[in-house]
Amino acid sequence: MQETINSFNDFFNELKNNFNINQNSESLEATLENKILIPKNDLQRIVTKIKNFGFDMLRLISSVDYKDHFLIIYHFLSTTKNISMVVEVKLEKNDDNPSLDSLTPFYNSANWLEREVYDLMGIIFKGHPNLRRILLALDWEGYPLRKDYVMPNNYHGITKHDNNEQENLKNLNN
Amino acid sequence: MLKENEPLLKEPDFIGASNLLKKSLISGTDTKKYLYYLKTLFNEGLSANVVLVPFEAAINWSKASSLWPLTFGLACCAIEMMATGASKYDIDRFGAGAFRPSVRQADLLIVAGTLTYKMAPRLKRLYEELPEKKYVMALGACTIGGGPYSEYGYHVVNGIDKIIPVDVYVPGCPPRPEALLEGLFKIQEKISHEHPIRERIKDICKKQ
Repeated sequence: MQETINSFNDFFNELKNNFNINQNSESLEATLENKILIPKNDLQRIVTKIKNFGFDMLRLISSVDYKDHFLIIYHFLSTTKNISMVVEVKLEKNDDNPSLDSLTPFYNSANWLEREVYDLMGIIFKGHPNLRRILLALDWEGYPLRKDYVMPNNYHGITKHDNNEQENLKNLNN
Repeated sequence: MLKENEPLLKEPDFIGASNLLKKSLISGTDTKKYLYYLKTLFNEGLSANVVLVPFEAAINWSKASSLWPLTFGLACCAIEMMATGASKYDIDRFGAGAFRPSVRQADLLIVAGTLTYKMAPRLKRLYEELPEKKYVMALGACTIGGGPYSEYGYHVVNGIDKIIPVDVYVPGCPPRPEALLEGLFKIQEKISHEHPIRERIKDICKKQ
C-alpha cells in the first residue's frame, strides 16, 4: 500500500515539474480524489504518461457548463494498483464549437463516453471514429444540457405542449 | 349414505329405461308411463351439461378470457407488469398470462413506461403490425400525459394517444398490480359489448 502511494507521489511530482498543472480547481466534483486541472494542449501527452504509470481504465467523462467556459472532467482508475485520479480540462466559449482531442487511441471506453458528451453538451472530439448521437433521436437538433437550451415544441409533427389547451378545457364545460 | 365402491355420480340408466319401454310396447301396457320416465331421465340427465347462451356472448366471453399481451415494458411500469405476471397478483387467473414476444401473436398492447421521441416511430410500427382485433392499454402516468416529465422533459412524448389510439388508461406512478388488473377488467367489459356476428353480416352485405 505504501509502495503504491510512494510511486504515485513520484509520478505526481514528475507531472508537476514538466507541465503547468493547477491543483486548486474550483469545481465541486470529486473533491476527495487526486484532482488536477491541465491546459487543453497538453492533454494527449499527459494521458500517455498516465497510461504508462498504470491507470488502465477511463471510468467516466463528465462535462459542466459554466457561464463563460466548459469544464471536461476525466476519471481514471488503476485496477492493478487501486488508485484513482481526476483530470480536468477547461474549454473557453468562442464563436466556433468547443472541440478537444479524443482519447479513443488510448482508452476504448472513451468511444461511448465521448459520444454521450457530444450528444448532450455539443463538444466535438477530434479524431473520434464514430461521433454521432447515442441517447437522443439521431436527427435531434440542439444540445439539451447546455444552459442556453430551449426545448422545441414540435418534432416530426408530435407536439409537446398544446398551446390551445386552456381554451379547449374551457370549451369542454360548455 | 354411500355404500362401498358406490360412485358419487350415477349415470342415468338409459339402457334399462329403454328396455322397460320396449317390453311395455311389446306387451302393450303402461307405454305412456315408461315413455314419460325415459323423457324425464333424458332431461334431468343432460340438464346439468347443456347451457343455452347467445352466440355473440360466447364469442365475446372466449375472446375476453384469453387476451394475449405483448411485452412492451419501456421503463418502471414494466416492473409492475412483471409483478402482475408473478404469483402474488397472478394475471394468468384471467387468461392474460401468456405474454408474447412476437407482435403477430398478440392482441393486447400494454404500453408500460415513458415514451420518448426516439421510440415513438417504433411504437407506431408495432401497433400497425398487430393483427385485428387489437386493444391498447396505457399504463402509468407517463403514457397518459407525460407524467412527471410533461413540462421539462425535452425528449418525452406527452402521452401515447398522440401516436396510437388507446382503449384504457390506468393512472398511477406506478399503478399497483391491482390497478393493472382493473384496467384488464375494463377491457374485458368493453369486449363484452361488441357484436361480432352483426359486424360480419354488415361486411358481407356491403360487399354484395
